[in-house]
Amino acid sequence: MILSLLVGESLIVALAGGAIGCGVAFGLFKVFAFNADALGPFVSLHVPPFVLAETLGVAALIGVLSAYVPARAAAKRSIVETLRLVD
Amino acid sequence: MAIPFKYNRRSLLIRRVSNSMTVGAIAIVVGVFVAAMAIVGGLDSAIKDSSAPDNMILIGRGADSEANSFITLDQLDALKFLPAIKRDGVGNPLVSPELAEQVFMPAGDTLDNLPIRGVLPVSTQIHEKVRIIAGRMFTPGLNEVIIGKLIVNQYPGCALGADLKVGRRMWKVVGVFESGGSSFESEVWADLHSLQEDSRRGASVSSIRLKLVPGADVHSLIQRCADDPRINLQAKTESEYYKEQSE
Repeated sequence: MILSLLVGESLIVALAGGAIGCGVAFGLFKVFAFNADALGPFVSLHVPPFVLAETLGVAALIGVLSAYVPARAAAKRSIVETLRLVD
Repeated sequence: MAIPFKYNRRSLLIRRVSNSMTVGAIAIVVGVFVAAMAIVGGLDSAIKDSSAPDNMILIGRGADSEANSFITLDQLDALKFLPAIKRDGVGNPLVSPELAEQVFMPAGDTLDNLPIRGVLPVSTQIHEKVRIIAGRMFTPGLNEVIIGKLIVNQYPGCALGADLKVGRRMWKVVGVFESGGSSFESEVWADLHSLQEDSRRGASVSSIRLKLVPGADVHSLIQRCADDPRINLQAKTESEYYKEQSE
């Protein structure tokens, strides 16, 4: 239960960060699209949908993996022992 | 038993500062990654959109791009009636000799390389995505050019109706074209013979584009172009050529 709580939280944080990052990037693309001079004539911006899906997938994976080890360690601890450590 | 979602929400809100900073850090990394992928994606699509599946490009032996390729009129004459080349309604082969040059154009405090391509009227039958979106096609022999839509107002003289100083002469910009997002949209297109005269290249060209008949044997055509001593050119499909150029 503790494992899924912590991993779930980390997943939410990672996905929120990924979604905000994609949103900010698209906002910047719109700005550049209105002001083509900023990029010069030889570059246009194009993001295939699979890149977005891949980016969010990788962000979610990092969130899950980075939380899994500490969450498993926390889950293995006895609740009584842990409560004793709380001031 | 599943944990109610509100437990997660409360837990996240209790540590809102550290969680916000984590979300911010991830957002910055993801934003930069997506922006980098967007530039790569833009270049890829520009390169891919420049090619047509039934087009071939021929460049000189030893050349690795149009920029350093040299093809003579005799080589052009030797290949243009090969049976694998498609013909138009009146039997003319769809073969487009092209001269690709680069000129320096002022861009702020620096100079940019602006590609200028000499073409014949047949070129629009080979580059089928090219479409005039303002003005008209240039008239051969009249020092007129058309410009890609991406360079409009980017350089001095790059506007419809303006006089563009390129090479040794002034060219009148009579049209603006698009080509489905390809790299041609960053080019100036002029009459082949006028550009040959202006750049003092004689009757030589830098590449030849041709359209294949449906079901043509590409490999035997490539072999023929390489082995025939009168042709002696490297032939590649356009998609293969642009793929190599992007590497």
